[in-house]
Amino acid sequence: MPLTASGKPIEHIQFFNGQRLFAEDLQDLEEFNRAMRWLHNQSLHQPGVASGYAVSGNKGDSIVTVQPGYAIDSQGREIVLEQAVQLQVPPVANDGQGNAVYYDLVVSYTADAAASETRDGVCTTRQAVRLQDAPTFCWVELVPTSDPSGSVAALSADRKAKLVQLNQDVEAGNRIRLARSEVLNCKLNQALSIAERRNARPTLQPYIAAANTSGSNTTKWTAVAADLGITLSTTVDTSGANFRSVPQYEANAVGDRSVTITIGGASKTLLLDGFVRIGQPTATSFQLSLLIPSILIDNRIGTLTAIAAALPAALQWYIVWMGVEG
Amino acid sequence: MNTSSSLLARIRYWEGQLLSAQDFQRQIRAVAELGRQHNRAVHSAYGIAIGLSVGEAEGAGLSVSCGMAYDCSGSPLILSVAQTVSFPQPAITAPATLMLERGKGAPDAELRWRSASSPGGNGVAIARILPGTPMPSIDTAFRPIVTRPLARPRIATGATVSGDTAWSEWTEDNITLGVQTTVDTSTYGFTTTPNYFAQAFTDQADFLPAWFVSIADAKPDSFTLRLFTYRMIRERFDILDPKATLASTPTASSRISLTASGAFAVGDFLSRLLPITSEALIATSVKNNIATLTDKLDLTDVQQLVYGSPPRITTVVSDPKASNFAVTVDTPAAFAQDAVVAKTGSTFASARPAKVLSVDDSGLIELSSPMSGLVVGDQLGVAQNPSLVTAVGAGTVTLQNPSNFQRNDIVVCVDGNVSDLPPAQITNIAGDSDELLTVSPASFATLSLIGTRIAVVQPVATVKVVDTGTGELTVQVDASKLFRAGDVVARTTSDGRFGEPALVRSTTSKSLVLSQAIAALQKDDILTGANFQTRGTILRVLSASPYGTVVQLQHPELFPVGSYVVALDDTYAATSLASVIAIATGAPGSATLYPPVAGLQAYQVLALCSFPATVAVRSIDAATGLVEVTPAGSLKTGDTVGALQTHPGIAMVVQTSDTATGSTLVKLTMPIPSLTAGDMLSVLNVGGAVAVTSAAPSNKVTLIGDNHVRTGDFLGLINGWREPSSIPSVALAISTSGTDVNFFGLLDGAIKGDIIGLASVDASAGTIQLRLKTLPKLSPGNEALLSGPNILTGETQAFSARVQYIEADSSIVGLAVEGAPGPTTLRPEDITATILLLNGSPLMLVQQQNVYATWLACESFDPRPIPCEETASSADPCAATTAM
Repeated sequence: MPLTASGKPIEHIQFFNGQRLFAEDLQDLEEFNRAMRWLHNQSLHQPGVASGYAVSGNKGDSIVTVQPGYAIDSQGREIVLEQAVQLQVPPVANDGQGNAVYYDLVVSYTADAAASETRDGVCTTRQAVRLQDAPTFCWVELVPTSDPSGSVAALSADRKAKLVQLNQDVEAGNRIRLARSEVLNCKLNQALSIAERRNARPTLQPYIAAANTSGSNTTKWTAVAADLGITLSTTVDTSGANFRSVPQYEANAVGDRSVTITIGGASKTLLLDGFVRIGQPTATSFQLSLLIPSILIDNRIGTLTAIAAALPAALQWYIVWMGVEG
Repeated sequence: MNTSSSLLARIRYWEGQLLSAQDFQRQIRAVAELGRQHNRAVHSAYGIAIGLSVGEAEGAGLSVSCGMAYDCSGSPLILSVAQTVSFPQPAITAPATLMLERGKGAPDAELRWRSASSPGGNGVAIARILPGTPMPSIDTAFRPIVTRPLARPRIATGATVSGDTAWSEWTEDNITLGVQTTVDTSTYGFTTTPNYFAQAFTDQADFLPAWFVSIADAKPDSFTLRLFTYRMIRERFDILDPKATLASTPTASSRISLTASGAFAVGDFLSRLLPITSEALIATSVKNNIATLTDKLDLTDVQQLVYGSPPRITTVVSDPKASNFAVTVDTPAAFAQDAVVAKTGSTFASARPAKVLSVDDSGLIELSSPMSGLVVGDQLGVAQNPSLVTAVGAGTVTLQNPSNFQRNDIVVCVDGNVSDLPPAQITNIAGDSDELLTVSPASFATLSLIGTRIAVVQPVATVKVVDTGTGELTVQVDASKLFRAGDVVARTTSDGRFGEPALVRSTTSKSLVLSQAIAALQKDDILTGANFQTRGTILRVLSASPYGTVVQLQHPELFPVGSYVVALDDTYAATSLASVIAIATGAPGSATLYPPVAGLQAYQVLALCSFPATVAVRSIDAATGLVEVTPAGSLKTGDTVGALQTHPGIAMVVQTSDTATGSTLVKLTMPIPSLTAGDMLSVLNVGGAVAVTSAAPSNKVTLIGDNHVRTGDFLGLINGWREPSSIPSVALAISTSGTDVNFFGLLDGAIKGDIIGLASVDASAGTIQLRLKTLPKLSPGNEALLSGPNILTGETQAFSARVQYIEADSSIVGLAVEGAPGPTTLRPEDITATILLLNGSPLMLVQQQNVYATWLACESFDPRPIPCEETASSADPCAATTAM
């Protein structure tokens, strides 16, 4: 299967002064751009409705309205509706057993574009100069998974094959489903449902950003002694992650748990860790505090206040953090 | 549909076609429109995509680096060269926003100032400025919207296998800090070191992890997870709290016999204990050791219950025959019928006043009520020149006619039942006309005194003979079954006080036979039974004479002068009643009892007659839980109170404070459920613990062995223990032999059936001693953390201590308390203690508990491309871009 819809190799057009340009050159230029765009859409996006294509039709209506929109099919082709259109509901009474018939309203790319402008050539006959890519709408009857009433079995082989093909096209994304309808007596038996739409936009996911304060950013600690122990605090700048609202932060302190402090002129080694708490979170920063419980501190080394005073200068710890927004 | 106006119509070329400039422009427009639609529909393109950072406000404007943004229609806005934008002119008075907007014709977008409040336009905000002089300032709170890439950072999660995680010891400088494991993340394909987050878990539900998690050696393909356990993993002490029942009342000061052997070890500090309960039910009958309760009690796995009694109260149903007390004096002429007499001199407080019924020439004076503290040789006085009391205050009395009252005079009330109120001494006189007397004891100044008369007692005669032998008195009452021989009862006065008590000699189904008359007892009076909770062991009988019996006691201060005491036998029955007329404090001290108590011996137990108060609940503060009760001054800290006739809840009094309106605010250890204003709250007498047979919930309780539970008593589940007195009485076990324990010290007031247990520890004493169930590997200097609740306040107090000594044979550990927490008396059974496990590794622990790790790794975000700033040193890189 060729990579592009046209099956032609993708060729760059080159120009030079004095070049004799043929219509084909300009046409190829146009087709090259189109092919690259379709390739982009096909490879980096998924088929479905990207924006617009609002449909309206309530119970009892025999006409539905489709608003302008932009969709992409499975080959990356843009299906653009520039102006609202009104469509007739399929003129079907019932399925032969008195039940409503289900249809998907689908839209597809019109490969054989209509000429929207024609012009006389210098020495040739009048031809089209502009092609209108107006999308094609179609009501696709749903093929039941089982056929208790025998209505499908009663269809002619041609008609059945066509119906199956249409349904397969919808599933494959060659045709983009806009709405599902229930038709009885040539009118909508229910308001149109858009729950079955396929969306070309990626599903919204939380925005996640993670980083750490190692390297050139030295982490500035403050330490306060209280009854429970020593609380170390530092403010972490997260503005580089471009959070738009306050995310949920997760953070921990990384560094050697054996900390040598200078207290009363002598070097003492403390073995420290503590309870991490995140406070004052904003879109651009948060404060990490770490409560070192007093049970970890041998009171023979010094008072909590003296140890707290000596700690910030000795700590080589940095912060690893992650923020999840949305 | 007007198709000719379509922007998106595709151009088609053919040979011989006449082309105009418009054809190419249309084609460009169609491509641009499709691009816009695409950007808007499938990319969240709006905002700054590249560069466009704003420099400091300087000179007349702001510098903006080159870059690119997308507007809300999906159109690219390109600023191909850095620009300096002048501040708006004239100077702004409100914040202004710098917008990047689509240029008119030019390829580059344009920078334009707009009002911050309504920017309008169809651009992207780059910066905001605030009015200022000499120039506006940049609003640092403003954050432009920055386009985010569709791609999210690579994220991976994983877990190690529970039970198969390769933990190893984490040591630094030969100190075990904890355990660690290296987690392999190579299969997740990180090309840079991600940010790792990890936790450690265990499948064991009953294991509480106590560690701090940290990450070290983070690499693209692995990291080390460390669990910091240093000084965190502690071992719990299981503290023993043995208890045993006294098999007999001790007959020697240094030995007790218990009902079981092996409870105590040499080195234990012993004390008498009383159980605590928070809920109890009344036994409506107790027959053949079967108590029938008002509701069901769950006795599953219960061996002992608290027992005790609410106030035992009965009403006199007919006027008893009066019985008279007489004395012979040297000057009978000084006494007239109906005169009020009282004892004078320094011991005036030991006898109550009485009225003269008759006087004969032989000097025999018949009195309305017994003056049991009166001794041969005492000076007897007559109340003279009474004055009406117009007001009383705290220990003060205001008189209508104070002229005959002097300082140090002894005063009595001369109206009503004169024996209800003990005499008092004037300690001070104040007021404009000396009408304000301060009296001692202050309790003399009772509210009921207002409107009655008081008078000074002037000594007029010396007592020659005291005739107390007026015999027994039979009183018909409505609830004689609450009482038994050996009880002590007293008349309850209208203001909640108690008159002179009498001993119950025997009971019948309708009456009590009392040892002596009760003054002015009449029909409808209320009799209240005494309880004997305050007790002391007689160390020696020092002397016995008609003037009184003098006994040696460890704590005579428990028996104030004027109080009534009884000698108790093994069945808690009083054998004799006397009043305390003098005490000599000291260790040991002495108490003088009158009338003399015949047959008193060393190691008998004396008990104070305490009459339980009943108060009315006036209000309950829902917020603070304070209960307001009347009359004031009836409850004291440490009292056990309840309204058991209506609610099963029981609490202890933590604190009391009298109000200006004659009530007392009482703070309780816990709220008594459903207690409401109007309820009667009584002081309960906790008798002790009684052995019972375990059973499913039932309202029948089978009591075991000898016990003192009777009809009307309450039974409740034991919540804790306390020592019976605020004055500790502690004995040190020095040897044991079978059920006998020899000790040093004194178990003051101990009687057969009492519960003996380990004494409470006081952390403020510096050193405490605990006995452990099993002795862990300890050495002096080990650090321990202890905590326990204060019985009265319920607050948990915690402190640290270091091991000082270890008695390996008895598993006794002595601990030196560090950082004295103030007065902290804790019961051994309430203490939770842990000791730092300084020796040994937590490795075994995490392996046994199948500890495993779960982790999450997330790549750091890519910095936003800022091409202009990065190459700021080169001449004009953006200009070069433009030229291409």
